[in-house]
This record gives sequence, structure tokens and C-alpha cells, in this order.
Amino acid sequence: MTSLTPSDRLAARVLDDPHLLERILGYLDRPQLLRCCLVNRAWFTPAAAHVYHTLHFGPSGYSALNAWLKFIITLPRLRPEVRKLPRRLVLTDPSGGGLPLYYTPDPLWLRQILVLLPNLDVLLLHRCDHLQSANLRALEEKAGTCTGPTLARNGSYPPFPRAVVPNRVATLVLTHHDNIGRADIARLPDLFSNLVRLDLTGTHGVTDESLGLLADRCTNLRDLAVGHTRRVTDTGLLTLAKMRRSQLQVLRLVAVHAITDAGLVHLTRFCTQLRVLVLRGCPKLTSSGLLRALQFSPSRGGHLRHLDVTHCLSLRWDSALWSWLAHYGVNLSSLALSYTFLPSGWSGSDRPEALACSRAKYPPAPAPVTAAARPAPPSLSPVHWPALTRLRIDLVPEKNANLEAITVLAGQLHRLHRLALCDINNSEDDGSNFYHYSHNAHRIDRTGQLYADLWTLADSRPKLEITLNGHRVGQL
Amino acid sequence: MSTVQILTSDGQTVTVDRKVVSKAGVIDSALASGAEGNSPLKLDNISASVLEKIIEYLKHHVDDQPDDGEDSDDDIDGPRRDPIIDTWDAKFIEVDLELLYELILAANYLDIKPLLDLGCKTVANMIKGKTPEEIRSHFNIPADFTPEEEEQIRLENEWAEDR
Repeated sequence: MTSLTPSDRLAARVLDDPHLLERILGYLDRPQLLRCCLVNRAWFTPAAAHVYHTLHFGPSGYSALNAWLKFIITLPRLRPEVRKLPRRLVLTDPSGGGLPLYYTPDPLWLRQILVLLPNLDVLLLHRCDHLQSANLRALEEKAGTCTGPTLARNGSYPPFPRAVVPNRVATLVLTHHDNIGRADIARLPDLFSNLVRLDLTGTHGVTDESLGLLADRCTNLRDLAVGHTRRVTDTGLLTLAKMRRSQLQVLRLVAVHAITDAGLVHLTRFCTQLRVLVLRGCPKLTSSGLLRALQFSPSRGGHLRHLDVTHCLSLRWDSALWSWLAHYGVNLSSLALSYTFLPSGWSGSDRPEALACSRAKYPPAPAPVTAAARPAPPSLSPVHWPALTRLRIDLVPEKNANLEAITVLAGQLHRLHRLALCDINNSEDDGSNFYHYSHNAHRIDRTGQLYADLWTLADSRPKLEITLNGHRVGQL
Repeated sequence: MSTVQILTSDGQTVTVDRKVVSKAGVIDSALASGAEGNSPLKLDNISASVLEKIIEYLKHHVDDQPDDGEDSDDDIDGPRRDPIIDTWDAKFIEVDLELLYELILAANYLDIKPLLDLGCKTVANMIKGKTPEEIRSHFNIPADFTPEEEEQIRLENEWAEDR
């Protein structure tokens, strides 16, 4: 054995500390982590923990599907200590929009996943062609039999399930699935009894009725997302709001075409602890409706940390709404809006002289409708959105955008450290928290006028991270 | 501006700005609890040369906002960290191996997260591109897998190879 140098001894002290080794390995990519697994036993544990923590397959392409199929085959052969490692399974369109002809989906794959990976707590399936009703049905039947009782089609749901595969999935994301029906959605609370976060954006079978069932039976649900549907209406929203009340903290409604101002008012009235509210691409919502909803809220909208009102076509610049938001949004740390919502919006004529900075300058806020109004906040605070750190502005015109308003706004927000702009051609349609994939991400125009104007702004605020269509401005 | 006196492991007393040194979690809480009194703060396992280097780092980063690490857990790829090192930091950490490890241990002990991250990134960069054998010989790590165990791990991890 060669004698150890002082630096070897120190290296051993660093690398023998499991916490430090885990930290170091956290900076490595997967191929390198796979090599680290083979160093020795002490290295295997943290390296494998990184490799297996999140099992991510997709999006699309032969290799993604291939890796997924290989994984499913390997799964039963994993040692029990390795099977305990995975926490998240992420399948994002692994087949690339259509299963190959040679592949027949196995009705038991989901069951196998949940049985063999006991610590899985995030299950994210986005456009998974091989997720079908049968996979969900298989979760409540004996292994080996997947032709269970047929479902009643007439809206009645099967009796209480016999035995469900135990699992600890707390976050379930089933987005953009065509093969999932109303009965399947209604069964989710029984299949996944620990649900805290549920995202069903773009999945068939989400209706007013199934939404009510979810709200009633998922007792821990705090975070819900639905979207790309015409079958969720104000009725569904009212049921949801009344069932979940103060437990609901996050609600994302993306392109829910049927909801109107009335539904929004139900929501803010009953869901008093709503912290994140995404109302993206809901065409019937109006500025006065949003203002009314905030007035109806017991906290006047003061609990909101994140508000997204992008792509709502009827939502235009409204000075009363703007001052309400500015006045009560003390906890607002992230705000996303469309360019049309800005004071400079569509036309320059209706723009106020400046973004009012003190309460005295505010237009009188409309009187709150409920009698038991809270005492008016102290009139001293001259600050707009004191907690706001992120601002996102969508639908910015490519040419002749009035950046002055954006500059003025950014100048008033002292804590702002991220400003994201998206022009008209580059808007992700998915407001989901879990899944961001812009089809136009490759497209970047570094010569446009908008880009040049932003460059000037970036120069004047070096600490502010400005992005245009997802690309950093001011860095080549 | 108030200052703090620190007694290092090799018996030297170093005087530092309180604002700079309170970036280190351990010192900050020691000062907050009023433990220092008039006697210098004692750091048993940090030598004067290492402390000097740490103070150089803290001085440069004194105005940085603490990173609250938001959103990192919601990332779909899990809590993998950003491996990019900024220019000043890269120059700062160009030190001999002995001092690098000392800095990591000290940052861990003093609870200076950004410096700990910087040190860990640097070690991670040393690991990058090396085979298991090269890693073992570089860091003097004994091998303890049997050939069968090694084969089992290779089979288990095969699904992850071609991505």
C-alpha cells in the first residue's frame, strides 16, 4: 500500500462523508453517474440514488420508447434496495404520438410499476399512448387477471373496489390522454388515496360531475389543474369550490372555455387559501369579472402568490383592476399577464399618466360587496407588489411593442429578478407546473426590434434576468 | 462597522467585518446568540490560511441575495443541480487539492452553502470523464465489489445506458 499524502487524507475525509459525496455526485450527468455506481459500495448508494430518483422517459423518439421498454423488462430483476430508490416516474410522450405497430400495450404495466416501486410519490404521464382504461382497472384487481367487471356506461360507477394496489402517489399528472374516460376519472380517488396534487389538463373524461367526485373524495387534494376542455363549467367550479374550500391552495385552469366570471366569483369566495391561481386562455373571463372575484375574496386576493391571466382574450387593461391588484397583492411574488393587460396595451390613448405609486393617486377602489369587509389596509404603503420577483408578459407584438410601460413597471419593482417576455408567435399553450415543452423553443430571432429594445433594458438592469421566448437577452 | 475577532486552530487571531462573516451560518448563529462577548470566536478546525481564503470569498459575495432554492424540487428531472461556475469563482477555486478539500470541509462546517457548492462542483468536474478504475486510483478508493455484484449492477443499469 502506498503511503497517503495529506491531500489524499483530506480527499478521503471529504468523500467518506455521505452527505458531501451525495452533493458532489449531484452535479454529474447520467452517463457519469452510471460509472460512479461501479466505483465501490460507498459510492453506489448515492450514485444510484441520483440515477433512480427520477425515471424520465421521453419526449418522443425511438430511443425514449426503447429505453422505457427495456426498463419495464428490467424492473422485476432490480434488487429490492434499488427498487426503493425511485421517487418520480415521468413519461412524456415516449412514443412520439403513436405506438409502433409491433408494440401491444401491456395492461399490467402501471400495476407493475406501483407494486415494484413502493416509494414512488410522483407519477407524471403526459400523452402516453399506452395508458388506457385497462391499466387503471388493473390496479384494483388481482394480479394476472385484467379482464375485470365491465364498467357501467350509463353514468353509474362500479361498487367500491375490492383491493387496490397500495401506493403512496401524492402527485398524479395525467395530461392529454384520450383513452381515459369519465368512469376512470371517477375512480382515481379510490386508486390513489394519498393524492395531494392532481393535474388532468387536456384529458378526456373531466366533466362537472367527475370534478365534483374528485373534490369530494380526494380528501387531501390541495392542488388541481384542469384544462383544454369545454365540459367543465361554472357548475363544476362551484361544486369544487364548495367541497374543497380553504384546502384548495393551487388551481390551474388552462383553456377551460366554458367558465365565466360567475364561476370565478364562486372560486374566490369559497377557496380562501388559494395561493396560486392560473386562468390561462379562458376566453369568457373579463376584467370586471376578475375584479369582482377579487372583491368577493375574504382576503381581497391578498393570499395570492402567483397569478397567471395570460391569453384571456376578454381581459383588457382596466385601471380599477390594476390598482386593486397593486394594492392588495402584497404577497404576490409571480405575475403573468398578456401585453394587452398592460396600461400601454393595445392603444396608447387610454394609458394613465403613470403607474400610480401612492395610494392617494389610486382611483377609488370599488366598494367591496360583502358587508363584513376587512378594515381598510393602512394608507401609508406606497409600494406596488413588494414581493414580486417574477414577471411574465405574453403576446408581446414583434414590431412596435411599447416597451416603455414594461420598463417603467420593471423600474418600480425593486425585487424583480426575472422578466420573461413571449412574443405572439411563441406562447406555450400549457400552463402546467410540471411540464414545460415549447414547440417553438428552437426559434430565436436575435435581430428583431423587440430583441434590440430589450437589450437596452438588460443593460440598464444588470441584475435582472430578461428572457425573450425562453432565451436570455444580453448573453450570446 | 462592527468587527469580529476569530481565533483559528493554529492560534492566530483574525479580525473581520461582522457583515462579511455573518454569511457563514454557524458564525451568524453564534453571534446572534451573543456567545462572542469580548473574547474572540474560536474555530477549532480551521487554520488561518483557510480562513483567509474563505474571507476573500465571502467579501466578494457579500451583496449576493441568498438563494432560496425555489422550484428546484418541481423540476421534472429531479433535484439535479446547475454545474455552471461563474468566472470569478472559477479563478478563486484554482487552488491546490489540499486547500480545495480544506475549503469544502470548512464550508460544510461553517455552513456556507455557495462555497460548499463551488467546491463540490470542482470535485465533480474532476470526476467527469473518468472510468470507475480511474476514479478509484485518482481518489485512492478501495474496490469492494465482487465480479458478480459488478455484473448485476451493469445489468440493472443497462436501460439507462443508451440515452
